[in-house]
Amino acid sequence: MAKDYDHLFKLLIIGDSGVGKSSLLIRFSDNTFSGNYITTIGVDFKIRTIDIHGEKVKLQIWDTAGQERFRTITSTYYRGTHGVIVVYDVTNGDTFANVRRWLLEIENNCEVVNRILVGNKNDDPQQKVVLTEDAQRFANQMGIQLFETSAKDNINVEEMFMAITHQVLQKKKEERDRQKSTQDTVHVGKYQKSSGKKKCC
Amino acid sequence: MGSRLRDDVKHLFECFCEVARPQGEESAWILQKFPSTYKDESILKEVPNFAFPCERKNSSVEYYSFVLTDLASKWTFGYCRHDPNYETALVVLSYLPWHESFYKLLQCISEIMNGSTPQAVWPFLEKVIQSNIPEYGSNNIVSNTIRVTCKEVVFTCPAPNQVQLPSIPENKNLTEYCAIEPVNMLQIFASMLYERRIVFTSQRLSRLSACVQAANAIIYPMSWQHIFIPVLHHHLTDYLNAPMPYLMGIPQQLLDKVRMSDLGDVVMLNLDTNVLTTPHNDLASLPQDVISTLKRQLRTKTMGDGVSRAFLRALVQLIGHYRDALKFHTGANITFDNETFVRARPTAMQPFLREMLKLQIFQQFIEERLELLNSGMGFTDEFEREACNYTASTTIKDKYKEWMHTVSKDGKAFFKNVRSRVRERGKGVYKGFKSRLKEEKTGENKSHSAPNSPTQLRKKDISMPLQSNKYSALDLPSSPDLSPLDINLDLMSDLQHVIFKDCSPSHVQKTLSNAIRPLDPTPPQTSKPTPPEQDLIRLDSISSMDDVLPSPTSCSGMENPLYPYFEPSGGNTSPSQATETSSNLKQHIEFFNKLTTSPSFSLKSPPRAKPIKPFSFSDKDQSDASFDFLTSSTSLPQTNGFQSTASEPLQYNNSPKILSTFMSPTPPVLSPRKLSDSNPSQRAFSNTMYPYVLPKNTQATSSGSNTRPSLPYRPSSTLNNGFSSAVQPQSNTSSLLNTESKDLLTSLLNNNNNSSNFTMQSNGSVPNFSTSQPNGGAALSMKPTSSAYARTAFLNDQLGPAPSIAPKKSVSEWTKFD
Repeated sequence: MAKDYDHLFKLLIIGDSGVGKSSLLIRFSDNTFSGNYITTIGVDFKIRTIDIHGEKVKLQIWDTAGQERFRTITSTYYRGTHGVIVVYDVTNGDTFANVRRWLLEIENNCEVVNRILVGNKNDDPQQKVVLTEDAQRFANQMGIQLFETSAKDNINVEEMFMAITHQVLQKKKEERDRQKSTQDTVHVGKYQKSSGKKKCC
Repeated sequence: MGSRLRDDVKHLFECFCEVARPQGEESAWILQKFPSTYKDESILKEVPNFAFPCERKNSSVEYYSFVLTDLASKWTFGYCRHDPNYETALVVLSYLPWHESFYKLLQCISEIMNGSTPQAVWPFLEKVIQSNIPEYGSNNIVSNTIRVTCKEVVFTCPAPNQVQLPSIPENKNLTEYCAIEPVNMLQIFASMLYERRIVFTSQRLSRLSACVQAANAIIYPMSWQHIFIPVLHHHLTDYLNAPMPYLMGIPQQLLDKVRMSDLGDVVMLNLDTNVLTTPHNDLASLPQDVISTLKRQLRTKTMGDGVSRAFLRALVQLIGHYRDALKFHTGANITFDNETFVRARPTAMQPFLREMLKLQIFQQFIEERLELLNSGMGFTDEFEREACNYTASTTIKDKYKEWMHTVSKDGKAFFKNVRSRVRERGKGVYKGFKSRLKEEKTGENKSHSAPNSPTQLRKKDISMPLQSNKYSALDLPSSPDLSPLDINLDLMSDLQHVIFKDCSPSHVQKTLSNAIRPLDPTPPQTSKPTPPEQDLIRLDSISSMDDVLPSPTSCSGMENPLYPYFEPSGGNTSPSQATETSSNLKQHIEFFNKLTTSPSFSLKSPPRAKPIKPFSFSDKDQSDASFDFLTSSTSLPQTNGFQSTASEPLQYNNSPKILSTFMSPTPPVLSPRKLSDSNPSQRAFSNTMYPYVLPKNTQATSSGSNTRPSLPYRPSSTLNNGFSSAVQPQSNTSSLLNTESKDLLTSLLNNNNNSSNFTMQSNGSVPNFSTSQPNGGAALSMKPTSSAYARTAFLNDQLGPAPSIAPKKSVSEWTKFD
C-alpha cells in the first residue's frame, strides 16, 4: 500500500487534566477519527494530515490520562515521539507550575525533543492568572515557542499546531543534512588519516 | 502514587453485565446488567467490545479479564466468562484485582443463571454487592471472607493475602505466564525495565490477559505506569501505533490484520509459539550477575512463590539500595538523591542504574515510598523484607568476613587491650544500668522526654575533656602519640543524669560507687581532662539541643562534641603502652582507609566538624523513629565505626549511619556518605555518639538461635530492631550505649548474673520515621576471641515512653512479628 503521506509525525500532548488538551485535539482533528477512548483505556490520539510546502505531513497527536500524577515525566515517555506539546491553563497557576517542572526536567535530562509551550483557555482576561510575560520569559529561558490559545474560541490553535509541525519537520531535515555531512566528514577524515597520520597530533 | 489500583473501593464489584454475542453486522450489546443504577455510559459502551474483542471459536469455558483505565489512570477490571454453549458472555466489573475470586463469582453466577431458577441470580448478586469487602489480616472470619449462598451454590471470597507474592498454582495469571520459556520471561522483564512498547499475542484470551497481568505483577514492587491494555478489541488496533511505552495484549486474529511495519520498534511475544522478537538488546544490558542468578532460580524454583521471588530478588539487587539514597533534611521532607542511588553500586552497574532513573515505573515507586515516609506512615512488604535479607546475607556477610580476616591478623593486641579495660569497667556500669532500670520499672510512668534533664550539667561533661582548639579527632591518624588509652571516657558519671535522672543523688552514688568516678564539677573552660586511667570508653549524654547546638563556650575549639574522647595525650599512659597501641592503631587505620574505596565501606573520617544543625527526619516531630547509626569506635582514633545489622552483622562506616529500621529487621542504611561528605548540616548525629562498652562477659540478649528467627520484621519496633542489631550470635560481649537525656532506653533486659542483656523495645506502635532531634545511643560489642571486633549501633531515643524492664523470655516475643 502506498503511503498517503510524506512524513508521519507522532506528537505528545502533556499537561494536567483540565487544561483543555482534549479540546485542543478536537479542534485540531479533521474528524477522520472520532473515537474517544481517553476515559476508558487511558489513551487517545487524533490524526490530521496537513500540507507544508507541498509535503504531506501526517500528524498523530497522542494523549494519555493521569499525567498529573507524575512529579516528573521521564524521558522514556516521550523518547518515541517527534515532539511534545506542553499545555497549561492560563487561568490556573498550578498547571503552569507543573509544566515548568516537567520542562525543566526534560532540560535537565538533556533530552533533545521538540517542544512547544501552550497556554490554553486564553479567552477571558478576567480569569487569567498566568501572565503572558511570565510565560514568555520562561519560554525564552527554555528556548521554546509559546502560544496562548483558546480551544473554545478557536484562537491560535491552528497556528500552534502548524508551528510545532514546522519545527519537527525542520529538525528532521536538519538531522538528515547533518547525517549526510557527517558521512562526508567521516569519509574525508578517513582519507586524511590514511594519507598522513602525523597531522592528528 | 505508584499504584494504579483504587483505594476507595466500596463494593466487591461495580457492575455485572450479560453481553450478547455479535450477530453478523450487529455488534455485541448488553442484555442485562446489575445493579440497574450503574450508569457509567463510557464504560458500558466499551464492555461489549471487550467482552467479544474478536471473532473466535473456543470449545471450552474460558475466563479472562480486561482492564479499563480512567482519567486518573486508575484501573477497572472486567472479568469475563465465555461458555461455548451459550450466546452470551458474563462480565463483572470491579476495582479489585482479585482474578481468582471473580472467576469464582462468575462461575457461581453462571450456575445460578443456567439452573432451574435463573431469577435467583439477582438476590444473589444483591447479597454479594452488599457484603463488606473482605479485609486481609482480620481475625474476624466474617469480615475476611464473603460467603453468599444461593441454594446449592456457594460463593466464598476470602480476602487475598496482599503481602504474599503470587504463587503457583494458586495464582492463575502467573501459572499461565510460567508456561512460556523462562528466557522469554526474562526478555519481557528486561524490556519492562526499559519501558519498551511491548505486545503479547495469543489465540486464547485467557492466556493473553493472564500473561499481561502476570508480566506486570512480576515487576513488583513497581507497577506499570504506561498504557496497559491486557486485551485489545477490534476497534483499538490502531493503538498499537502509540509512540509511548505500553504493555498490550492483542488477540492473534486481530494482529494478523495489523501491518507490522507500522508498529516500529515493538517487543513482540507470541504466547502460543513462544517466539519473541525484539529490536532491543535489553536483556544483555541488564547487570549480568543479576540475570544469571535469576536464570538459575527460574530453572530450579518453579512452584509456590519461587518465580515471583526470583524476580523480586533480582529487583532487590537492582534497586533494593534505593534506601541508601534517601536524604533527610531538617524540617523538610525526605527526598531521594539520584546520584547517591547510582554511586552506591559498583561502577559496572552504574550505567544501568542511570537508565533506571529515567523510568517512570521507578520514579513512581520512589514517589510512593517518599509519600509514605513523609506522611509518617511506615510500610512493609515483601520487597523491603527481601531487600533486608539480601543486604544482611550477602553484602554484610562478605564485608564482615573480609574485615574479620584483617582484624584477626592485625587487631589482636588492640582488642585485647580494649577488652581488658572494658571488662574492668563494664561490670559496674552494667550493674548500674540494671538496678536503675529495675527502679524505673516499678515506679515510672512519666514522660520519656526527661524534661528535667540537667542539660547544663551535661554540657559541662561534654566539654570537660576538651583541652585545646588545635585538636580534632579527625586529624588523628598522623598523630604518633595517640592512643586509645587517651580516650577519656567516664561512662557512668557522664550518663548519670540520663540514666538516673529520677534517683536521688545518694542512690546514684551508691550504685556507681564501685566503678564510677564522681561527676567532674569543673567548669568546661577550665577543666583538664581527667586522666583516663582505666576508663576506656565513655558514655555521654546531652540533650538534643546540646547535640545540635553546641555552646561555643563549653565546646571551645571543638566544633563537634563527639570528639572530646579522642584526646591527643593521655595523662598517665606510659609511653611504651602508647606506642604499642598506636602502632596497632595505625594498622587499623590503614586497613580502614583501604576500605574507603568501597562505596558502602567507607571508613574515611568525616571532615572536621562543621556547624551542626538539628537533624530531623521530618518536620512532624513524631516519635518512634529510630535510627541506628554507626559512629566511631571508642578504641580508634579515627571516627571509624562498625555497625552490625540485625542479621549478620557488620558494616563499617565512616560516619553516623542511619539505619531506617522502620522497614525491616535489618535496618536499611541511609546514605552514610551523604551524611558525612555531602552535606555538613546532616552530620548532626555525630555529636551524639558516645560509645559505651559493656563487660566482656556480657552476652547478647538472645542467643543466635533465637535472635535470627525472631528478627522478624516489625515495622514499628524500630528500637527493637536497632537493638537486635547489637545482639550477635556468638558474640560474647555486647554492649549498649545510649545517650540522650530523653527517653532513650525504653527497656532493658537482663537475664542472669554472668551475662548482661539489653533489649530495647519500642513502645510506640506508629511505624513512623520522623524525629526532629538527633539522639543516639550506641552499642558496641566485642568478640573476645582473636577475631575480636567492635561495633557500634546507635539507637534513637525517641522511642517510646518510660524505660521498663522485661524478663528475658519476652525478648523473642518483642521481636516477633505480630
